[in-house]
Amino acid sequence: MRPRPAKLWLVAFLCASAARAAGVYDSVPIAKDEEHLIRQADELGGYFAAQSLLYTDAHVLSLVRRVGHEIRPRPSDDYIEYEFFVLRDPSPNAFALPNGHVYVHTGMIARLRDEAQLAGLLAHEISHVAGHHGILEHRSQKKRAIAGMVLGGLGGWGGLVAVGLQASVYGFSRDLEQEADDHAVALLRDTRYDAHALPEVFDILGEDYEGFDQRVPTIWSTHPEIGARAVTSRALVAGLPVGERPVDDFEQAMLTLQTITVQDYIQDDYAQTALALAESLLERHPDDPRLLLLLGDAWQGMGAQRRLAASELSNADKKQIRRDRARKTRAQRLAEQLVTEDGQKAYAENLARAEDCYRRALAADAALAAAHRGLGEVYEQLARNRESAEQYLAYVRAVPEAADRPIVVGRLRALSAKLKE
Amino acid sequence: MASKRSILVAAAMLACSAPAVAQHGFTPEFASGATRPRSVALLPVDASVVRAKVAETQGLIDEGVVYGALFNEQVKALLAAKGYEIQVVDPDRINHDAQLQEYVVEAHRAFDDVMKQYRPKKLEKRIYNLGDPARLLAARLGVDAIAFGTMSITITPAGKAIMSALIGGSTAGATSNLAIVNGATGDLEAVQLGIVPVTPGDKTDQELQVYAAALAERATKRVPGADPSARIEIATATDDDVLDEVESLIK
Repeated sequence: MRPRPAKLWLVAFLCASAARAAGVYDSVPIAKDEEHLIRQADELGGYFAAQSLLYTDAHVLSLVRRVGHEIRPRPSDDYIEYEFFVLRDPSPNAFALPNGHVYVHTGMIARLRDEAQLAGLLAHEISHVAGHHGILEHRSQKKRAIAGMVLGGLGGWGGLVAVGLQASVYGFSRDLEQEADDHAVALLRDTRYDAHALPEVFDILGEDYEGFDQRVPTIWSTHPEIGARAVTSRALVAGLPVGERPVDDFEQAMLTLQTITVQDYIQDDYAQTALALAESLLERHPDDPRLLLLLGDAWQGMGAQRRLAASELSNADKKQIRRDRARKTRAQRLAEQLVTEDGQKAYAENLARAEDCYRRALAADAALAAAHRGLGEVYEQLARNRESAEQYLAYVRAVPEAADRPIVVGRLRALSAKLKE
Repeated sequence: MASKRSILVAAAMLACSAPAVAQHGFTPEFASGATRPRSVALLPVDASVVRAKVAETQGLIDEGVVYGALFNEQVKALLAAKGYEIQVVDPDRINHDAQLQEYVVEAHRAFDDVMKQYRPKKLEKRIYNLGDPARLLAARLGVDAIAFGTMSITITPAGKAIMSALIGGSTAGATSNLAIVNGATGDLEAVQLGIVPVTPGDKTDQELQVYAAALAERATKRVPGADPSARIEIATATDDDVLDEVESLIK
């Protein structure tokens, strides 16, 4: 008896699924009108260089590339060439392009704890490339865009259908994300790395230090809800043996990047995130006075904020935080907080914590001049002008060639006028 | 009679608002010359050239880099003609100097953050400040101000233009932005917008060059000329004098 076509389809589907799960994907030739996708992906490297966004620290790049090349599968198409880059961006993100180029943000790497977590992250991105997700998504969106435009021109009903099509675009993308997660587990299973690190990456991504995220995801989210992904991938890796978790090389290579990222968060007014990451770094390197200095900077960056517990915030609270941030500058928000008694108390406490960190840093390493600058800033904010001037002076005298000398001397100029009064 | 009166009122209102319109996009201090720089560094332009087709949009990435650089060269020539000392900070220079790259990336992020909150009417209140990244960058480059440029050109084939006219969607056009930040304070001093209409249809390289040049011209045409005599210099004492003075004061 000849098998029915429906059964053939089922067999083909199961074979394809099994192949995907084992880390093997079929070749997907690209059409002539899709060649621009590969060209654009190639050109993006030049664009990032032109915007000076490529992070080029040799230790970091070497480690990321070593891990990436170790876990990548054999390219299924000649337009795929796996390569790994780091972008100087504190947002926790990573992305993959159809040509095999994978970009990881410094803000993502800074949150990882070991090589296995990095391998988990890269395995997810590699799976997007291996599964040709960029090309499939492009084809899907193109079809829906055409259908949407035609139906959108039909008045009310056409518009509704078009909205439905758009929703299915997002749904498709969620499927691809899930497929990439599944495939990442299959990839990791065949490497020396511990596949149990993958759900941890989702846990890390789910951390909401600033209280921005909605607690309940909507169907419009491009990515499946991060908590659900952690649960699903944890179930997928549950039966797998525990692999390697190399940590020493990772910590050594990443410390500078992590420090820079915390400074970026302070600079960009993500003080809660900066504080959490600085504390985590100090926990791992308790004897490093530079990290005490960093923690002091993070406490200073908190201004008059209380430490947030995102789990205790309602959606309305989070909405208010996002709205305030979008409408008011950091100085405006600080001024508003300082009007309240609670704000004044939090401000004094944060500065006291910063002062303590700087003092401890100096006790551990008297030559750490930047701690004098930190103390100068704390005392300046407390209007303790003489002490502030002493600390700034100690800093400038200790590091006459400091890059921020013009700024510190400018502050001394202003303090000099106050001291004369 | 009533209509004549309303025309007169409208004319009077227009006359009164003319100076305000003329100052639009500048802080009062920049307009008066007190904080107007003598020297300006132009950072690499955030440029995009996009071809919006019927069913997809293609970013022409290499073209964006090329025409962004051209835009900056035009801005340099136009501002230099107004008496400013201009230095173009090109990507090669930035990428070969780790410290400079650090400052540029940080200043860019601070600028992007400020522009998310930017409202033209609030510019004069001087609430938009880039903080230390801008000051450090200006000190490093030895300039009074930093200029951030953005440029965007969207090309649409005729078919897409017709579809957009019927059911909406992206249309052809070109816009630019030039923001000037005070290197001493980090304050945003000026934001100038340039808009150039783009006709539907594919464009040659030469036509794109013309658009980039026109965008540079629009973004700079209302920037007043450099006027060092009106500029208020805050500090006169040298660094060493300041340090010695503070030392004696705290003793």
